[in-house]
Amino acid sequence: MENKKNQRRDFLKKAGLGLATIASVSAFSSPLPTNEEKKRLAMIVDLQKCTGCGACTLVCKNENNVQDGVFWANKICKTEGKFPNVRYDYIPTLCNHCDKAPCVKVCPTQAMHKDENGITMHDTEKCVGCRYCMVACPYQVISYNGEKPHKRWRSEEKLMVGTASPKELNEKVGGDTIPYYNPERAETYPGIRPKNVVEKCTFCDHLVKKGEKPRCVQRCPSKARTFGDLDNPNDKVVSLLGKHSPFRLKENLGTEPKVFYIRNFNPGKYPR
Amino acid sequence: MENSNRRNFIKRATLGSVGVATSAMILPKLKAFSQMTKNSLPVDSEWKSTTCQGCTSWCSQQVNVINGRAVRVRGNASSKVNMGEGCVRSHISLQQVYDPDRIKVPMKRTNPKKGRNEDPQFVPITWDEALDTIADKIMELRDNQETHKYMLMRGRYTYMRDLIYDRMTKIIGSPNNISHSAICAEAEKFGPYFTEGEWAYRQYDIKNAKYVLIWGADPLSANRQVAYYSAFWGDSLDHMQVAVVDPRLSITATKASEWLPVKPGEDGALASAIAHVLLTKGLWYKPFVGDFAENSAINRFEAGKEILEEKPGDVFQEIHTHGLIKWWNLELKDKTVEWAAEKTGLSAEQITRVAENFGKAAPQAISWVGGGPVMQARGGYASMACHVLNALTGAVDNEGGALKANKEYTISFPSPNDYIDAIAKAGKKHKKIDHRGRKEWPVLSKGKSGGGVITNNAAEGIINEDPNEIKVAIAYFNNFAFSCPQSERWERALSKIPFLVHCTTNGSEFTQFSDIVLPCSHHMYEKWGYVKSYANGYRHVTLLQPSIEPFWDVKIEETEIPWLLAEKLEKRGFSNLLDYYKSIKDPETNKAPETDKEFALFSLKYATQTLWDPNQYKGGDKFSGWDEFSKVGVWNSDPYPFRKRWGKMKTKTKKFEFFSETLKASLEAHAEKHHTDVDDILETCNYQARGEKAFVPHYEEPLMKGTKEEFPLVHVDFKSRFNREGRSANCTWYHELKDLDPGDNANEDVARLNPIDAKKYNIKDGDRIKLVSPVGEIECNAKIWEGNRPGTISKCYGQGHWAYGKVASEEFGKKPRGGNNNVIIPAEYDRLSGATAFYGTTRVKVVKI
Amino acid sequence: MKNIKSIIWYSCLIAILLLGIYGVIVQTIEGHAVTGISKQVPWGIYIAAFTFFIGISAGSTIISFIIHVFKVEHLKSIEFKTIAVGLISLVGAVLFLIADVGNPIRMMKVPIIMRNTSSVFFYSSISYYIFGGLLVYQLVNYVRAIKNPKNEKFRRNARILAIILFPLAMGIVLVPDGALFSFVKAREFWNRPLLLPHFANAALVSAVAVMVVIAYISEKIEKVELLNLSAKVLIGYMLIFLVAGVLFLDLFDILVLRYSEKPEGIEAWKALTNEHLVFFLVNILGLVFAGILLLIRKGREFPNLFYSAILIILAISAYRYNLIIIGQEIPLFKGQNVELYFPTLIEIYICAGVTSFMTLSYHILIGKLKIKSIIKNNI
Repeated sequence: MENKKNQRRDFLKKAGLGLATIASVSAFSSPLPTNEEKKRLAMIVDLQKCTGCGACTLVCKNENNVQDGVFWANKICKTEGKFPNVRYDYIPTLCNHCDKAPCVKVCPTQAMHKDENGITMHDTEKCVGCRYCMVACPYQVISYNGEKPHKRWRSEEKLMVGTASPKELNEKVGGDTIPYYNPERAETYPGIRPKNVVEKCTFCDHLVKKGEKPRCVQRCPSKARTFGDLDNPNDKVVSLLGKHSPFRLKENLGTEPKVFYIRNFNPGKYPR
Repeated sequence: MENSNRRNFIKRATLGSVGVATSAMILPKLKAFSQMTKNSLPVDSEWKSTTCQGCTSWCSQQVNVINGRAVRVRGNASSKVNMGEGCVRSHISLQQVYDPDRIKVPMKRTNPKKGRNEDPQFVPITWDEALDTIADKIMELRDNQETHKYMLMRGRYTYMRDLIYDRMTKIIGSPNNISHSAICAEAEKFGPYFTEGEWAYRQYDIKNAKYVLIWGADPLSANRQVAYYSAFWGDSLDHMQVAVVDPRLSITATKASEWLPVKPGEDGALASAIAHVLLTKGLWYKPFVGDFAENSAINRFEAGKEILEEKPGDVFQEIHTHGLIKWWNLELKDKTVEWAAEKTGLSAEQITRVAENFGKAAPQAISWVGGGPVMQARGGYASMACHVLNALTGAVDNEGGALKANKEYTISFPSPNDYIDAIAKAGKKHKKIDHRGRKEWPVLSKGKSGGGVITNNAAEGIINEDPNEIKVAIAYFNNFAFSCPQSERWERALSKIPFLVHCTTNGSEFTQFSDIVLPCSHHMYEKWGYVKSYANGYRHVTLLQPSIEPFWDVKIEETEIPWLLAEKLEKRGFSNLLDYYKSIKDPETNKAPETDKEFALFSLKYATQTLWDPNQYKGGDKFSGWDEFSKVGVWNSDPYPFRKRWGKMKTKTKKFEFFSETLKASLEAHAEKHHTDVDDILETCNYQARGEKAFVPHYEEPLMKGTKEEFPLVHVDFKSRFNREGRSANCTWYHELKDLDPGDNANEDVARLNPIDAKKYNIKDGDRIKLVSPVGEIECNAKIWEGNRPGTISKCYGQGHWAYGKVASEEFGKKPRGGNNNVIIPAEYDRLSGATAFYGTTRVKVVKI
Repeated sequence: MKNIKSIIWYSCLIAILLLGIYGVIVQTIEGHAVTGISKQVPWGIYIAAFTFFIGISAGSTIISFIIHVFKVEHLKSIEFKTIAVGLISLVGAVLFLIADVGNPIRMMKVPIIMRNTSSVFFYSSISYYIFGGLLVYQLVNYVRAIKNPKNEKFRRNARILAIILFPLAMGIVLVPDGALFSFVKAREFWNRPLLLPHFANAALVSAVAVMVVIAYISEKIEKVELLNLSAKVLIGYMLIFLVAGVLFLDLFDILVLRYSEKPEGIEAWKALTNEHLVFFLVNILGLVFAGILLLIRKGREFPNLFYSAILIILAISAYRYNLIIIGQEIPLFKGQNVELYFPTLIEIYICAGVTSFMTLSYHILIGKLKIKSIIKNNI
């Protein structure tokens, strides 16, 4: 692996114009492969188990140091029917990591791209902040940093004489902008994304790379989420999809989302 | 030739520039990659065990500490109660501990005037100055022999509480330690106590249940064991049907088979009707309850027909229960489905269907009693009425049923008796400030007249100086000026106390009336303590342990602060308290504590010694010693012994009492104490029952303040799944996720109306409105929502702080953000249990602003 | 007298420009948080303005093509102005893009680094460079041709360029820009086959209208008659034809939306007839009244022609705004809240500033090159 990288570096340094072309072509087709074993990662949400508590949304914010008002993991909820025959419906949402991701297609700079495991990744260094991906995404799961994130935590105003300003507290505990900053996030993506770029769910690629599940999967209180590799016949996601008839959001658009939903959020028994 | 050359050149030039551009793309990436691998893994990352007290589920948790900072939270997998899970609330604790508005240092008040609109003008002081001032005030009371004018108020707690709440108050010499218990859910314990002798909450075996009938509880979002129930709910739905009785569509109701949107306060009617159906249709569980005698002429329950027995057992032979026929005759015989349909606003078909399916599922049919039907005026009887259904289905103490707590083996702190001097003894003899045990306040906690607390009535005691004035008060982990109904009374009461000390994390409403503010540790991250809770057929004892270094000058309120105060008192010649504390030694080294920090740790080790010391082992999980216990963080009991209590209950008859001889004895004792009869007591306490009916579970009409004409809507209070007991309003996560409470909106505080009422009162979605009750008014936004029963207006508790922090209040110390339900809920009580009424009590009108 | 008027005029333009610069400064410091965009409506008034001006840019090039190819002598007098307007509107459009994106510098590099050939944005941004370059070249040729009337080379160049620019304007400017929207499957309101012709037709009509306004102002204020009567009549007929075309497509849109049974269609109709009713009415009624005005006898003369041009410009701006904003406001999921977009003051400042900048540039370009006199001499 390392060897391969070095080779490429030397190659670029030495090579003439023609050779550079080859390198550039290979760069077009696939950005740096980092893992020999390619996966097609997917998530299944069991709606009967889901209790609509939003822990996915919250731990996601915690794990990825997401600022106030921005959600990588979100939900669609609605109340249907007329009293007293009413139900509340809830679908947790996140980036679908579509096989045919519209955001990847429209991104002018390949900032939005697919990684070797089928994760739709984003590169803040390349992002021009045009928000075309947000417009093109049928699931509304991409957000734009219209300002420097965590404005509240940069404030130097304190409540009263015996309390601290947010900034003072953060400096005191040694966080990074936010006192509960998670440094692990920064291993593969800026820990806190800069101003003027978009950001979104990465399937917690920083955890996945270490063999862990995404945080929302780990911490779902009702264990409603299953995460795994669609290309591995022994994986639980494959067996679950075999047993249930799943649905995906807006399948008709042909985006091939990789977040599947099984069973029903309102599992009321038929009154007998 | 020339042409082709030129073309080549162009080609090369383009490719070249592309190549450069590409390498520019790749190289930084390589650089970034090498940097990444260098400092990728955080240097110091570890998971430390502690406990979440965001609600009283008390889940054992672990905190991921990276480089000294708490970063993540997860359930402790070693717990058999929460099974490695934690609910959404647990994560909000991160924003609590790292709340910039936490108080950093002790402060004292410089504005002598106290009141709702008075700025206390706090200035920072040292711990020494703060504690010296407090010690002086206490010594003054002691010198003047008026220690009964000292008061301790407690809110949330760990079981280290006894050191400050009980022992310190006693040794100083005051009867006035007032806990928050009565604004929690004491009435929920009333039903089980007077039927099966357990003054406690229950655990419900949903893994084996077939039918769960839930009364005003929302276990998927609030109290208790949210983590456990959330983890197993989805799969349990495969084998259990759920019916939820609640005037508003809760998340549990939407994940149920039946939603019974009962009229507020009419739960008892529904419970009696369900019992009526179970009996008339022969659906009671015979191996537990028994059956008609073989040779009896009467062999079934017929609506409206009394059953006469010459002597008990003639007609019906009960097995593990007592008084079924009496209950039928006194209450159930006329409580038909049609009668209940009229009262509850539910359809007769639905009531019948639910009752029949519930009965058919016996004995795996749970009647799950939450706060809704019982935390009402007269709620004690609803508590009984709902709870006894568990006996009819045989779910009591049974698989798939309603269980009590498992046995645990923690040790109480040593008796303080040797340290209580003459002054203290005299002081202790005075009557308590909350009036418990008076004729109009039976408060039969554990059957004893005046056995429990009437938290919210302490305000009246203070205001009226009845039985005496309060001169010095210390309070911790509480915010009665926010959390007690008709909270304005507390504002007056607290203004009246000349010297008030508040131990708190945030500058709350209560703090605004204090003279000294002591900054406290956050329970989950900075505190030593332990708590017990139960679910899943187990009980755990879980430790609260400091996982991070406190970054401000904070102390643990239940151990460190009383120790430091004891030191100060000793310097003033009163050493009893310190001597007492020093008698609690480290069980490992037998060393007496010398500092506040040692005291905090030693006392915890002392109280839990039987759990971790292999030489003192009594049951459940076994540890090699303190270090292992501390690392694991939780002890689990032995599994639940099913049906062991059948026939051995702690009631007067040892049986499950449909006719409560236990309640009869208690009420008669209370009447006797006041030289009167039970009927007089019932009348004084606003109950409708007379005669023997008072001793059986029965329906009582709701007692509401205000007329229907002036206040047409009934207020329905409920708790958010994000409420960390009303302490999360200063967290931004709380507000931006508020729409996860079905019907609520993010970043808003809304009162929800059914479209029918909205039309009637001309309210549109998003309108700014005022809710006006006979005792107060609050402002919030209107939300038109189908999940609300017409005739009611539901609003979540948790917002409406006028203090607590920048996020919680619109203008700190002045203007609240949203509205606090407790401003409009009148101070009303279930006087038999002392419980404060929150539900089915308040009538309101809506005024558009 | 004239001087005072022009001083007032220029002071106004500069004041607005300064306001725009203030807006840019605020937006640069604070970020796009000062704009009205949200997660649901990521593109706001900048993009609407961008589409409007890119349309004018392409449209005016097409007029210059018509003048050249069909040798429309009546319109020769505005030939140079069409190119100037084409170039300046392109610059303006790009300025709006710059105001809109988070990293303008990176955006400028998009066509150069050629990272993603599947992105329409990539093509459209290339088109600005190519189109802009050619427009400049055309301008240079034109100026030279006028300065050296005897040198046929420049004339020929200009003619060839005009011919090249027409398909370019249609193919690489209007098509990708329309496709930016119609390409997006997620947004039903945009993802319609007729969006592109509608987009292009609106571009043409707005460009012609802008030329009319310029001619009118020139005639009334500078006392230079750019268009003679027959030219006006010709333009009048052109406008009738184009307005009819746009109206036809509008009508088609209305029918499709009004009787759509798709939730998006229903929502879009709801939006058009509620929150966006004013813009919708300006769009439709503006075109209708402009059409009626043009059809009456004196309608194809000044000032009526000018009034209808103003109506058309308003109508097309409203159409562009509705197209961009409603396309995003429609909730993607049933039950989701409609999140309305309102431009903030800062956005309006910047829009006004860019427009003022364009007007000033136009004055400077015309003035600096002394085209006025050249044209006078030429005529």
